[in-house]
Amino acid sequence: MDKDYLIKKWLSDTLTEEEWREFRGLDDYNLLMKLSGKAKNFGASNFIETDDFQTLKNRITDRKKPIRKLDWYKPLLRIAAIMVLAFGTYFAFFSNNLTQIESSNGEKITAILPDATEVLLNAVSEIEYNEREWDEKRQLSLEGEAYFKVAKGSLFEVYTKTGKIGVLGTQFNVKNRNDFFEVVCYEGKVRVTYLGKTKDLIPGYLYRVIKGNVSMDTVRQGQPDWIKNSSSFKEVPYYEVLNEMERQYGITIEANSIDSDRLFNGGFVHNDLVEALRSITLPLGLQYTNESNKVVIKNIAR
Amino acid sequence: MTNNSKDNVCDEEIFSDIYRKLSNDLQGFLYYKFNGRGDCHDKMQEAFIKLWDHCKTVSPAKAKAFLYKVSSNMMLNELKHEKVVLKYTLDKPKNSTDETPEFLMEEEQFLQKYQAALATLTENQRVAFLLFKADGKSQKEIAEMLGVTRRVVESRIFNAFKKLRDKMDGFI
Repeated sequence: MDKDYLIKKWLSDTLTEEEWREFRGLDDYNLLMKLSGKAKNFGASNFIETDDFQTLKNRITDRKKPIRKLDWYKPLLRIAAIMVLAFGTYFAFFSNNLTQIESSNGEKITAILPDATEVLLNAVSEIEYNEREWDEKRQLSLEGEAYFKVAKGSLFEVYTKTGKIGVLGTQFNVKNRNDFFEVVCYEGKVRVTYLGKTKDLIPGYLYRVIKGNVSMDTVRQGQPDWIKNSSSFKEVPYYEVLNEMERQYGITIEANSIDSDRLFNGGFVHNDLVEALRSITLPLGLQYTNESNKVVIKNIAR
Repeated sequence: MTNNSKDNVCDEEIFSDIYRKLSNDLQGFLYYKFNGRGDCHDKMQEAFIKLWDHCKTVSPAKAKAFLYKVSSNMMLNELKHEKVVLKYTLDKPKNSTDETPEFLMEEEQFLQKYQAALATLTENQRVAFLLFKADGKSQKEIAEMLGVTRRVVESRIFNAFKKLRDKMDGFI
């Protein structure tokens, strides 16, 4: 009888009595029986235990808690990501890193632009420019009045509601208040663009647009007077003089009974209201009353 | 699992039934397959948790195959193929005559040799052999567990015996 055959039959537990006798006679019999018996000593159940179902159930329920946390955490992250994207897009495409500098009543501000250009802002004025693109485009927008000392370099442009001023490296003053637009060149050369027409200014000249009327005149060279805390006017409508005084002192002026379109030559200081009011009323034969910063200007009664 | 009205294992009664029937065997299978490495108990439970998570897509009939597949994969992912041998326990002496130091030493030596011989078996041979002889499963049960025919199980066990016998030859 074949030995392997006997072993196979033994394994499947189908040995006949006759075969059993033969199987016992094999030289391997003792070893096979011992291997078979001692295999139990390697059994998994000797080393690890199986928990009951309750343990597994607890593990499943315990685990549910952090998962539920994730359930609100994930959508929250999504919302946060969308917000970050939205803000990012907004700032990248719409805001363009605009820098704003603004002065209030009676305040004068000196601003230094990225290329060391100096801008002096008169009262109630504002400039706005793109700091990030300043190296490529020297452009800013202006509301109000400012004096520029432009550092030498590429074209420097000032946009106002009324006109555009382009220069290379120079010093000039721009005043743009309501329907009053004035550019004065103090150094170098200034190109003013108004309604599609350009005009080059050389030092000592001013370019003025009042209610659509363009005029040019000469000025004293140096610097605008407002930088030294006084305002001076040459053939400027009287209402503009009053507006400037309102801005410098933060007061309101009422002058309904007089002709405010008449032209004014002269000026006022920025640090003494009484003297300033006198200097714009007395030479024109006017008088004023001042009650808690509400000033009324009238003709002197005869 | 005989309840045919349910086509998935989401019902807790069915699920706990499956656990009671399969957890022990699954754990043993993992233990033999991976030579006692890793945390078989933990992987067994994780496989059941995974089954619970996927309970809607697994029918009771497929649960067994699912558990064996998932737990094997989890073990494979975790373990590097280091050489490890299975542990053994020494028998508790049945009577005082067996307690001689000489007997205990012989016993220990035999089990050490046995351990080394087991390590030379292939994974398939080891799993089939130990399920058969250590856990006392029938060849048919093992065939079901491993997803192979009974003949394959028989030949794996037979080859395992032959290899062990050759390694242990002359010991007795």
